[in-house]
Formats: sequence, structure tokens, C-alpha cells
Amino acid sequence: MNDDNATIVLAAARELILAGLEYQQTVLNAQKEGRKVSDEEAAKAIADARVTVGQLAKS
Amino acid sequence: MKRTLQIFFAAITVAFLMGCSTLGLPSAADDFNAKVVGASTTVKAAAGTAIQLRVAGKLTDAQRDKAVQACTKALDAIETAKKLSAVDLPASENRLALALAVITALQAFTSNPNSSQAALDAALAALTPGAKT
Repeated sequence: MNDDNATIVLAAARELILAGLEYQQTVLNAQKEGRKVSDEEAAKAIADARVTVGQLAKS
Repeated sequence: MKRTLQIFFAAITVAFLMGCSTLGLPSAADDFNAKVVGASTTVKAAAGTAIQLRVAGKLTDAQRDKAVQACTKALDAIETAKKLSAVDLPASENRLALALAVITALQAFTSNPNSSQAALDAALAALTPGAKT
């Protein structure tokens, strides 16, 4: 694997790991509390993603 | 090698989505909001990957713009699916699947922009108003 491909793979892997942790935190918290994920938590996840997309647009 | 990268991206996306359920987390079938969170965090991961590639100088302005368009449309579709879920669950599930198809295509696009643009355009076209949901 050359350096270009390694950069792409590492970037994707890092982001997916972070996304997985974020997903687990939100959903596991709900599970621990014996409830489903709330509308507010779902809306927050969408809003957080929009912030990151906004950062991409400015990059 | 590029094909290998595309397969890698598709595989890790599927692994992420499957891992969420195999880790004992609530199934998306009985918690649509959990599915929305999963889809949104996947979009966020794709955007974060694109940002890192921009920093590394491996994504042009035009490719960045394409990635922004894909992420925005995917998030719009996720929001639509969320609203639809209260009245039409099958349609909302379908909308969510289309959004994830866009993100999978985006991940292939960021790994190989030249040969994956057509697939991304096709996935985006499926999200346009008037397309079957």
C-alpha cells in the first residue's frame, strides 16, 4: 500500500471508529436507561453531522 | 488497488452498521431513532474523512464540493425519513437506505474520485424529488 492509499484508509478508519463510539454512547445510554433513542438525540446527531459538513465546506 | 480500497470502504461501512447490532445495541427495527443516529454518524464520519483528505491535499475543491453536496443530500434524506417514520415506516426505511447508499458511494468517491463519480451521481439522483422512495 502506498502513502496515498494509507492516508485515505487511516483517515476513514479513524472517522468510522469515532462514529462508532458516538453511536454507542448515544444508543447505549438510552439502553441503560431502559428507553429508546429520543427524538432530541436523533435530531442532535443530524445537527452534529451538519456541523461537520459545514467544516468540510470551509476546508 | 483502487478496487481494493472501494471494497475496503464498503466493508467497513457494513461492519460498522452490523457491529452496532451485534454489540447488543437495540435493533434498528424496533428503534428508528437509533437507525437515524447510526446513519447520521456515518455521514459525519464520511465528512470527517473528507476533511482529513483535504488537509492532506488529496481532495480538490471540486471533489470537496461534491462531497459536501452528497453529505447534505444524505442528511436531508435522513431528516425526511425521520419525519416519515411516524406515518409511513416502509417509506422512511427506504429513504434511509437511499441515504446510506449515497454515503457508501461517497466513501468510494473519496478513495477514487475519477472512477467513482458516476456511482455517486447515480446514488444522488435516486434522492432527487420525484424519484421513487
